[in-house]
Amino acid sequence: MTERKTNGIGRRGFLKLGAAGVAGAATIGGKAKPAAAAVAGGTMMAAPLPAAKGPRVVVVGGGWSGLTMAKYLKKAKPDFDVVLLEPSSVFFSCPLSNLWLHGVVETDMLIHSYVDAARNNGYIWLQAALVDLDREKRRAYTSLGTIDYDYIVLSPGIDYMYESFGVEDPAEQYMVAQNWPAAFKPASEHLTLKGKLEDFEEGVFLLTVPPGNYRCLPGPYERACMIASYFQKEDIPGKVVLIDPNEKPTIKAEGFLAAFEELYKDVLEYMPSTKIEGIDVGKKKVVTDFEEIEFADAAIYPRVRAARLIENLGLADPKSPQKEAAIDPLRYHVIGDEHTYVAGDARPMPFSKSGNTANSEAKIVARMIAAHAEGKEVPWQSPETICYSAVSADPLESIMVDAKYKHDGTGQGWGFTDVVMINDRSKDLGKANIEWGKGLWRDMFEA
Amino acid sequence: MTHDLDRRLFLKACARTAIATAALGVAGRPGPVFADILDNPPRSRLVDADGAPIRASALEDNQTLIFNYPYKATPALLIRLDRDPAEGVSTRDTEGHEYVWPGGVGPGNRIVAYAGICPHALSYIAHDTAFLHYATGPTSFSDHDHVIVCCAHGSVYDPAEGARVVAGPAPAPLAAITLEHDPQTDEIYATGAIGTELFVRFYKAYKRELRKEYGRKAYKKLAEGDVVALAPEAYSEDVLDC
Ligand SMILES: Cc1cc2nc3c(=O)[nH]c(=O)nc-3n(C[C@H](O)[C@H](O)[C@H](O)COP(=O)(O)OP(=O)(O)OC[C@H]3O[C@@H](n4cnc5c(N)ncnc54)[C@H](O)[C@@H]3O)c2cc1C
Ligand code: FES
Repeated sequence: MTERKTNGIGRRGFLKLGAAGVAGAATIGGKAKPAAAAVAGGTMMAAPLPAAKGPRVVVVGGGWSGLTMAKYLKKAKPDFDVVLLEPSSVFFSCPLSNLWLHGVVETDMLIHSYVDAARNNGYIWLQAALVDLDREKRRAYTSLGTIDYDYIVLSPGIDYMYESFGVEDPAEQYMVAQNWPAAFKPASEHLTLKGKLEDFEEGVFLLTVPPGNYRCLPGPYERACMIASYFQKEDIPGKVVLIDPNEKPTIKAEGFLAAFEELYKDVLEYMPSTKIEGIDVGKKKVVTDFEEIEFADAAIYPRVRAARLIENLGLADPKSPQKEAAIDPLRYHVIGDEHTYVAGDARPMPFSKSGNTANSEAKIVARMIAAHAEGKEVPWQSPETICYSAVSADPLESIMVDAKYKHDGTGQGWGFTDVVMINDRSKDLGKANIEWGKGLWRDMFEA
Repeated sequence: MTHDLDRRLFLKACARTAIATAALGVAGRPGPVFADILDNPPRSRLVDADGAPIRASALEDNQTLIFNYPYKATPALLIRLDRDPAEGVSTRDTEGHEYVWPGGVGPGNRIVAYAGICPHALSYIAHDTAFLHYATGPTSFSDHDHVIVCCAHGSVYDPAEGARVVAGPAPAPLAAITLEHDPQTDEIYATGAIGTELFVRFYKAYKRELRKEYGRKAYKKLAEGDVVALAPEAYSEDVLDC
């Protein structure tokens, strides 16, 4: 088995966190030594954890993938000693947050306790971030110390690529991110966006659909509907402008287009087949391939990439435009390393980057890891993407899609299968939409 | 857990099932673990809203009734099938514990009952909204007909086969409710439940809501005496169609 060592970028990511480490940093032949050696003579202490009671599995990231993974690893193999690393103090749900922006659901519905999740499901939550890995020694370097593991699963989600808009300068990227956060990563960005809507006076509220396989395909269209409906409800003389590089909505097109036309004709302008080529930060303008559009406020959603952690650990596929992890697409482990797994939105497979996909996939991956630990193998199974989108808030009405995936045998060519698409919005689907979220939160946080 | 939610091995209670499933154990390997059942299940007669007993022979094909059993706050779903149910279906609950579905009762053994709680993520038939319903035609989630569907994430169950999962994410069938039919009086009794780990999860997940709805003391009590069985539309304000 060939294993790659931590690379230089990984070390840099690590060093940013602790000045103490900088003095001891050394590179050998252009490659960084594993982090242990880089940190002041390897003095990083063990993370404050109880002794492992069985094979230790570290799950990195307490999102939809990691939370499900931690719980179902325990279920699949109760003697696994599972540690979930998540630096946030509270879970905030992206799904259903568009309904929350409008006021259809309350904040307390979206937030959940990591302590509850861990207590109810028999694993440990360590409020720490993974900063580096020594995959040969199977040692994780976290912001709270080292953890030796048998398996590690990386579910760190996404980051944004502002370069996709031609915004290259980090200072400008920061300006865009701070002034018009995309609100496709939880939770501060969402809180800011809600505040913006409440404060909005008049003019254009700009939303964008990214190119590529971005997180939550229907998310930008659902959000456009919810904000447009909010403007109607609050009688705000504003207009939502939704810029989309695609010819039509990337999913549930018929249902969204019907809602745009029938419900929001006066408050929502949908601009398909329109590419953003630049952002004039000072003048609050986006430059498209056709025209310049001024806006009063915005939530600018750039192309997504696998969370930087993946690249920092040297695990990004150099051929992947979204820097997604280089893993065996059917077994989820890093090529040549059956102790390191990647799942959730950081995966390279072209699945819909959705909470439901991450949740159903994590159960499959957990069973694979449990089987591996017992010297067995379980057959590949498709994750499932069940995805509701609210298109009307009052009354709440939704549309939905349910799909699975099939592959060509090698895990390279992928297609949808068993697709059910309901584009006729209905109140029943609206209720099911909320219950969908409640059910998956129960799945992740309750026993 | 509370005394009410005490459990014991299915083995102790149902020799027929125990023998049937024990046969599945392969020599040299640990034998099967049996699904949990209730310790002292109530024997509850099903009555209508006026207190008159439900008569098995009066039920029409595909008629569905909702009643609370085995606990005061746990909904169950009874269906008068329009076809003969499968016999001797052996299956597993969410814990992976085995049981043999006891089948139906009444004319043609066509009256069956299950917990109205989805083992996937516990959506249920609540008084305000029923997330599960019985559909005789194809549904949004599958081409199967004569199925129980959970609208939350599209789990689809076949009530003629022990609520086997035919589509969707559910890891196990709906928990079975055992029934008895008294041929003399034509009355129907609910007599027990299999796979009761589900109720432990249900109470954990909904403790706060159930306490509010049923009261602090009553919410986790076993059903007692007669239980009222209502049409889905009478039991729930809104029965989702999906
Ligand atoms: C507005 C919006 C609406 C959506 N609606 C839906 C919907 O209706 N249905 C649906 O199915 N999906 C929906 N989604 C998509 C869904 O939220 C994502 O697909 C899902 O969150 C992906 O799960 P994940 O675990 O891969 O990533 P995340 O949930 O983002 O979790 C990643 C976690 O990793 C942590 N992390 C990152 N780096 C580190 C590190 N170094 N160490 C430790 N932890 C780290 C992060 O803090 C984060 O908590 C929506 C998303 C948005 C933004
Ligand atoms: S709760 Fe029924 S399908 Fe998920």
